[in-house]
Amino acid sequence: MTKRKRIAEEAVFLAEQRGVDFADVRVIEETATSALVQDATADKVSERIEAGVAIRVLVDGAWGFVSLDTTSRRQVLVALDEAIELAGASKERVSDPAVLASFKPVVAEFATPFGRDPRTVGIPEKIKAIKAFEAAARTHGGAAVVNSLVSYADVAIAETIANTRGTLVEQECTRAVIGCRVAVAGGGVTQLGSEHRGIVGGFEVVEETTPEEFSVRAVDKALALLTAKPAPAGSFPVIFHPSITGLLTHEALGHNAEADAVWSGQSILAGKMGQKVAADCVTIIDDPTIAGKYGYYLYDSEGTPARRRVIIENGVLKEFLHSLETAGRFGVEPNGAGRADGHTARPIVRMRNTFMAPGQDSFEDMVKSIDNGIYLKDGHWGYVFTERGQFTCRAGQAVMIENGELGEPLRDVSVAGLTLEVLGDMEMVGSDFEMEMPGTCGKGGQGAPTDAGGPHVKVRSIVVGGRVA
Amino acid sequence: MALLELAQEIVDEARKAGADFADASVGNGRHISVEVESGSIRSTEVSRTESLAVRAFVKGGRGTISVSGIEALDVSPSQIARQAVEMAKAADPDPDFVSLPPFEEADEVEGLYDERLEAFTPSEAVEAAGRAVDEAKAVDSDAIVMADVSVAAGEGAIANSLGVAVSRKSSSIDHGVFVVIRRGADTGAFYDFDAGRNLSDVDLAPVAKNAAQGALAFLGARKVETRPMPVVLGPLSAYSFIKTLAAAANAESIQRKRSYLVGRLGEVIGSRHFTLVDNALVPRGLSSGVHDGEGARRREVTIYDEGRLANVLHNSYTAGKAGVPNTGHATRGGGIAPTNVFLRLGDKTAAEIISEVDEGLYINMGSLAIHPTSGDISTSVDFGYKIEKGRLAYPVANAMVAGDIFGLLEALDTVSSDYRSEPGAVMPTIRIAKLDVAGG
Repeated sequence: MTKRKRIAEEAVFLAEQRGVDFADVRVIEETATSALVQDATADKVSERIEAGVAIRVLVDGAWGFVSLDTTSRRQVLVALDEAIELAGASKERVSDPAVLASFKPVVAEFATPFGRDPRTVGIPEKIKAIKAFEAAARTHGGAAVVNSLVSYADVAIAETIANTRGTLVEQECTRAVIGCRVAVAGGGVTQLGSEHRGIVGGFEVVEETTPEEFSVRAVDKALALLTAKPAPAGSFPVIFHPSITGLLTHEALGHNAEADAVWSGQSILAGKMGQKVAADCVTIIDDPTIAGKYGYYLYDSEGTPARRRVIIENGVLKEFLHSLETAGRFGVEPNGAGRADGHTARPIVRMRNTFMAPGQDSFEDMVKSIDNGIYLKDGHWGYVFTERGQFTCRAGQAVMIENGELGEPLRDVSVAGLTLEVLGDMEMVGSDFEMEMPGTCGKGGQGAPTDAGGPHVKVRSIVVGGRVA
Repeated sequence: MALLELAQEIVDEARKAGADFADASVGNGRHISVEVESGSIRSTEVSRTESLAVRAFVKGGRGTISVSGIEALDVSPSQIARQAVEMAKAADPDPDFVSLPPFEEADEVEGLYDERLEAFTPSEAVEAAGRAVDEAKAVDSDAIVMADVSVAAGEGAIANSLGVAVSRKSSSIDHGVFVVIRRGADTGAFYDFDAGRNLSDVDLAPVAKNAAQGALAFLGARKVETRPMPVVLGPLSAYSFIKTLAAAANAESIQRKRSYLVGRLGEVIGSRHFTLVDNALVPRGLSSGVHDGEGARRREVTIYDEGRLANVLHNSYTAGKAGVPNTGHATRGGGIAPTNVFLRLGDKTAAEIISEVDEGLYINMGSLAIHPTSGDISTSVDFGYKIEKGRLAYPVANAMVAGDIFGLLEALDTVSSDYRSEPGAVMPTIRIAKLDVAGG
């Protein structure tokens, strides 16, 4: 029996003895390494080691939660009593008591697969590998490169989850990422290009990536921006590259489909289940079960088995993302979307790999259909105010479309829209597909690994934050 | 073992293992958090943290190990120190590294720790969060209230191989309220907050009321037309903006040539109305501290002086590389960050500044996201009003602003004389004479 399992089972047993309505305990150990090469020097190497326990109890509809940076038995037992006290302290102000879904206990062990365990790769080999990427960037960009930076990071997480309904899940996950950021200068302008790769897996993220598709590409992005003009301002028809489609599905739609936002009145999708909320050509899915993708897992932080969730099918709202609590409130089966950012955080409803399903249209036909518009690509980041459905996405690059043809390159630009308007304005959905947006999504002070993507998509109109002619 | 003694022991072990320089930070704390969703307490939480981080330098190469839960991990402080040294040896030498900071005597900054916050109970936090719901509902009974109350108290120690040995307690309290009000298909939303290092520096009662009144005022948002116009940044937006400007005065980014400020030190790049000072030594300030994340003494720095980029912010690495005094702006992670920033005030009130605008945009909250390398600006207006004939006419939906930082700083034509005040923060209103606004 692992130490983690012993602690989790004992704490759950004692919670039952104290008569709580529900309790779960997560015991987590985490190790991570990272290295940085900048301007030909790998002068920064780091390691992080963490261990801790999260205890959550439900008493009379009120939650109490305590986290500890220790697995000391004595302190865990004290923390259990403290969590029960916290629930008691808050119940007078709980006007909407928590209700949990009924579920079958889950007993499982699972470890994410990797090509090469990053814990067996020494720091010198990690440094050597990323130095090659960084050198390729400088060679490719020549004198234009003023700053080049390549980073590597991996993490291995071992987590044991137990609850008072009999669930006991022991799982391990390894994740590895590489990032490249290159600044180039010319003509009095300095611009930045970036690339990143991230997988649930191991050191193969480095070994299966070539400089041409990584650091050299980052240089090319930056060089292209040196001579690009600012985007125009106003409302335009646009084509989204799959990376922008991914940002939109995650930010504009996905956060609104998280059932905690729906229940608390913060989502524009509240009351719209089964209704038409997007054009017929729009199908949006969140699927944590795609092996290797950055948002991959088989059991969430509550031990619920993960599954594919079809949020919108042919324009109709079909399903929200649920934790045990929101599934209980909505009276549905939990679908494995309760995730916590380590032992210091409680599970909340999160997306993982969120994407739009491919359609029938070609990119060429989309371009031909636009007289004066913009092709937005190289998705960087986004955010949303779910209560209004107002979102923003950042494109690292763009291209003018004039008279049905791709025209001059444009600089990086942000676009903004209202979710339901934009989902309704989707006119063409490409037959292609790409999901390469590994990143960390923030919500409620917690980070969660996610991926996002889809096909090229044409939208009738969106506001482009460019320059007035 | 006391925190400082542990930090010193780790530094000694790292030196014995071959580090040229080493530092260590050790901390512990308790954090209470109460969250409200839709008017009901959703979670009451306590986190107890214990952290330790050591940095070892060998020929300028740096190895860092950070640990939490050391008791659970079956590793000793000396093992951690030795491992950091091994990592530093695996790193490349860096000839630009000169030294960690030496110990310097410094006057205490008053009011950064309040024992009442260390004794604050979860029940008190629950009560404060519950009152926020009542206050918001008193403004509008249909208000959907999200709120949080967060109280932290703890102790941190830093030691290094040049004699730095400092240990201090600190505390903070934060209260934020977000209110959504719906009228049919129309939605108004707004946020307000209060924060302090001392219980007596915060007044939690008005926060929810302000947020609810703001949400009501944001009902009826309209789209705007695309055209250049004056843009007025209200106190919260202006403070976010000047904090972003101060963060860009980062010596590391400039030395690495990836900043829009490369080659600009000493140049006038903004209007004469723009004087920006960073000062970590303000008593009771939210971002105040005697020493920075490396244990260097913090200093007041005038970043912009009447539009001239006068100084940039340094840590020990960038100061050593440039051969200039360290300003004491290191973060514990090795980066550089501003602290409390102050804009020199003007002589018109915010109301007078708005009254002079015939057609423009007023931004309540949210910064103008500046690209850190190109200086381009392309950003959404998350909470804003259209200004017409000198008055806030109506809230706007789905609007954006664009420009570049140099044009914006030249066009910054007024800073208000009145301001919102938070501990260590003076938040005036500012006006940019012209920015491109996109809508439709």
